[in-house]
Amino acid sequence: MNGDPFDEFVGARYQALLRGAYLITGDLHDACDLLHDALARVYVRRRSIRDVTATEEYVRRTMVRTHISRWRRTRREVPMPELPDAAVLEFAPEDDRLRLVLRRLPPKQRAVVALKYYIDLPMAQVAEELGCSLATAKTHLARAMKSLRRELAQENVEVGRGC
Amino acid sequence: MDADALELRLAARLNAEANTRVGAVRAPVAELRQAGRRRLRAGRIRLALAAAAVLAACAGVTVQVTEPPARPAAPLAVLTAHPGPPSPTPVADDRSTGFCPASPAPGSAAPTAEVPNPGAALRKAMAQVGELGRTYFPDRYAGVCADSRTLYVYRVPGGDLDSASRLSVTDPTVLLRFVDAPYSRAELTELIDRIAKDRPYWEGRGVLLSGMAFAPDCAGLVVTTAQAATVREEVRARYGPRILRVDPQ
Repeated sequence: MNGDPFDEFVGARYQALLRGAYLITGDLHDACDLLHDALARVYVRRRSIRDVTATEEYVRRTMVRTHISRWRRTRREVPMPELPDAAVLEFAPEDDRLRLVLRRLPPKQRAVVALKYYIDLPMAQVAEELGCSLATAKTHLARAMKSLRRELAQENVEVGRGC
Repeated sequence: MDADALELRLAARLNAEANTRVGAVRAPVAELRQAGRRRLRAGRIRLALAAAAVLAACAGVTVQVTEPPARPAAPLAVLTAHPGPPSPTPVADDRSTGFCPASPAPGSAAPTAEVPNPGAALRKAMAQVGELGRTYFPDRYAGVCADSRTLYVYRVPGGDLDSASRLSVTDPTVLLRFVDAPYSRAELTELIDRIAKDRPYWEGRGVLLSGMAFAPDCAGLVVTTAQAATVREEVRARYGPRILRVDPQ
């Protein structure tokens, strides 16, 4: 590498990481915050950046775990059962439903879905990045899929009725 | 909907969702570097404080820890082992092992005379700040000295050594003063190593550089040689402005 390895890594992977962060958090602002925090940690170790893939895994793992621990700290501070309407009215109804379902999932389930179906990681790695056993990760995924299946099936029914 | 169809649909929807919401963004590299630097500095300070706390705890157990740390003898040993006329006693080679010089520190109300015993609190603070500087701020730290109640920290301005020193010295009887130094201890040590490696070069010219030491005010290196008058300019030209003086033996 000729330039600063941190600059090169950020320049190459920022957008992909931000998209992953968005799916993990469900909110663009939170995603930026989470990603920037994780990248600040990478900066501290920038001299040891050799393998971009390993560094990206480290960033992702940091984001997932930080997000879960933030959620644990703050979940009692937001007693609202539903998100404000204004946040969902700007999007198409079909996307709304997916977004709402994802947002309603607990953070670990949402992270498993994002890691598995967006980043396309094998379950063993999903478990590693989540910091839990393979069996626990599979349980989170199964529960998330149950919720998603129910919601998306309902969406199909509604679309069918519309036709 | 079967499982495969659901998974395929979910993957496609997640992709579309992420692409739509995030779009094309440019990485704020400068901002991220700044945040990273802040984190790095905070980490260093935390480490330094932890080290200082350990030192303080150890100092309570044994008096030996409060003794000035041993000076790095390797570069000097190379030169003083050279056969020939006896080497002079080096000028105080480490500010952390001595007290303040007779001349006051620049820009401060430094003492005008050496004080033989600066007291336990001051000696402890000297050891703490010396360790802190050498370990965590090698590019800034130059040395320390003390009079009866003031600890003078010589450092290259900038960085977090000042704040870390203030945090590490908690004894209210110890006053801290910071004095600008042009070179860090690490820079001068590097120069000593370089001169030691050049020994064959000088020997080939019939010159014996018999002593090297940090200047009392950390302003550079003092080289001692019997041929000071003839090689003074050559030494300065070869090693640059970090050579403060070339003194006769």
